[in-house]
Amino acid sequence: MTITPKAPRKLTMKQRYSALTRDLEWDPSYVSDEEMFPLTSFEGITIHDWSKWEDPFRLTVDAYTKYQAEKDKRLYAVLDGFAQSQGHLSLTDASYLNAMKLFLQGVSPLEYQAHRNFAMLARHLNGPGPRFASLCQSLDEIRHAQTEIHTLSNYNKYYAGFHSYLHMHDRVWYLSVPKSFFDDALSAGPFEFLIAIGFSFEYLLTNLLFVPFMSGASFNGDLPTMTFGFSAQSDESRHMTLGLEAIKFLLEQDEKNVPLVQHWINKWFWRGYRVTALVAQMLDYMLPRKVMSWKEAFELYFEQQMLGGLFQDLAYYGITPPLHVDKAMQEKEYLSHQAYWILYQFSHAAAFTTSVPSDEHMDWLTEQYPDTFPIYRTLWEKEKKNIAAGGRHFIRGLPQLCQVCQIPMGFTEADEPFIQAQRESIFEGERYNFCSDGCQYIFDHEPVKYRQAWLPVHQIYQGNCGAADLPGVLDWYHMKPGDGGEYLGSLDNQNWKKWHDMADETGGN
Amino acid sequence: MSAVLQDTIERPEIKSIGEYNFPSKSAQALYGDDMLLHVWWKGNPWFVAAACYRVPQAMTFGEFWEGVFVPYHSEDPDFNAEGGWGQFSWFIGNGRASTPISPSADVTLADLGLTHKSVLGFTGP
Repeated sequence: MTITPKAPRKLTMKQRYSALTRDLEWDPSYVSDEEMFPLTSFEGITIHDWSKWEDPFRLTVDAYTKYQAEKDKRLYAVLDGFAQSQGHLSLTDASYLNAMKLFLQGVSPLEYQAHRNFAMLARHLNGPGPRFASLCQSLDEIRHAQTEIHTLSNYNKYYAGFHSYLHMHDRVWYLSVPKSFFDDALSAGPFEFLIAIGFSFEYLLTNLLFVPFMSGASFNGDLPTMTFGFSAQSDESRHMTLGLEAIKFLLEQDEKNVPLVQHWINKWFWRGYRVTALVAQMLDYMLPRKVMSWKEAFELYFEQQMLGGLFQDLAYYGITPPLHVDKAMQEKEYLSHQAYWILYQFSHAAAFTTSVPSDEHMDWLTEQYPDTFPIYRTLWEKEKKNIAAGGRHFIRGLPQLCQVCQIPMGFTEADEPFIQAQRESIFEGERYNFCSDGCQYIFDHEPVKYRQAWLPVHQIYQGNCGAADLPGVLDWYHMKPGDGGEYLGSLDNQNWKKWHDMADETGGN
Repeated sequence: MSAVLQDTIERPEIKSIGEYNFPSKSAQALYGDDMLLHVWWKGNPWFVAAACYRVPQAMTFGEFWEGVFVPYHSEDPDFNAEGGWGQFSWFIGNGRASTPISPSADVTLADLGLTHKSVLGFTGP
């Protein structure tokens, strides 16, 4: 006798999602909830009902892998085509790649760190909904790290500064800015991490961080990076949704969560905003073909979209815009000028190059910043004379660093363009220096955490960075001749000219 | 050695999964008899940020001027080393506030009131 097996019941998408994620949840019988999820109580956040988490995207693992595989296929096809056709020669200029060097050294390693921490959340959050969302984001992040590395690896065959990005990320002074930012989040509890990275970084500041790099790529002939950007974009919109869901969930669960969340918003807005100084100078100074100014980007992506949109919605929960946001708004007029001036005079110790902006470039800056750039232009005019007299402004020493953001203390008071801000706190007998009220606020709330900061300058002076002299430290950084310094006459600049002359002679493109 | 500084903040409550109390990675003791000193040419943007040096606390101001200050600041084409330190007004910065000081060749940095991670400021000429 045979029994015809019943045809499997076809589930709707929603049922499938539920079966494959939430139905896999069980209540532990031989350990307590507290033992199974030991990390979700010490921060003081109260969650009454984890099932109230609204899954912002209903993906299953099979659907997820199918979409991602298709996107990867498209990206790798572009990478192959670009490499085979010597696409790097159609960039606007070799100096464009300074933006990508900064991205690979500073941002790609953060994607990997995000992968690690979301994997931890995928284990440690009590509810199956947020665990699964974290799992997807963890996979996204490692895919981003890998595809960025693959995308930019092609340039490593021809250009300086791409070769030791992971090694440099852990050691080099300007990379301690993004690295310490993320280490700071990794060493926080899971809820703070959700606000720090899920909300502040991936929602509040994401368009300021990510879009400028990708638009810069498309404006400057970098098809692979642009394609990577498209490939990551749909993931990024999921991450934004997750960040928003996370904050709403915490705020709706208990009123007592509101002040904690508000403090984290204050802290992580400023912490993330300081990292965007690198983006600001990239937009205004590093791109040969400009996309938009930092000021425009800040007004559009932050003032309009976040202050004008998001924070209006969050006001319902009693959340106000982050502390010190007024300072960031004042700074939009001069942040990029100050950040690039820092990088310019320290680029002999960097794995990217800098140069005096051309007259045309300075005219563009004057148009974008009519109230402030003319003041900074006087510095460049002085530097031009210095160069004509045989000089080139490289600092002969090490700078004072901010204890929190770790950026050389080159940011000024709001109303005085040439007076750097100086702040200090004294904690248990030791003095700590800060670049701003925002950084001092962060320190004063957690001095025991931030006094452990590994400040590159202080470490060099303790003898922990290979040598006591600059060549020795650069060697310890794995920097090679051609990686840093002045762009004009650099290895990249010379090769660029040589390759283009060769292409012209052979009638190639 | 260095004077005891008056704390400006108290230790806040720490939320952690265990004992959390680690020392500063920049404590003065890590530098032996030296200290880190920040030197800030206030109002001259040529130097984008104050400089940070490791110097002996017992270094005299004369030695500091000659061996540390002049070589660093000569990078500014408008800096005139011959003018001596008298061309500048000197102060110790404390955040937004400042205390004027009058350096002289034989006085040590410590005796000028400078301690680990202080800001030695100057303006002019």
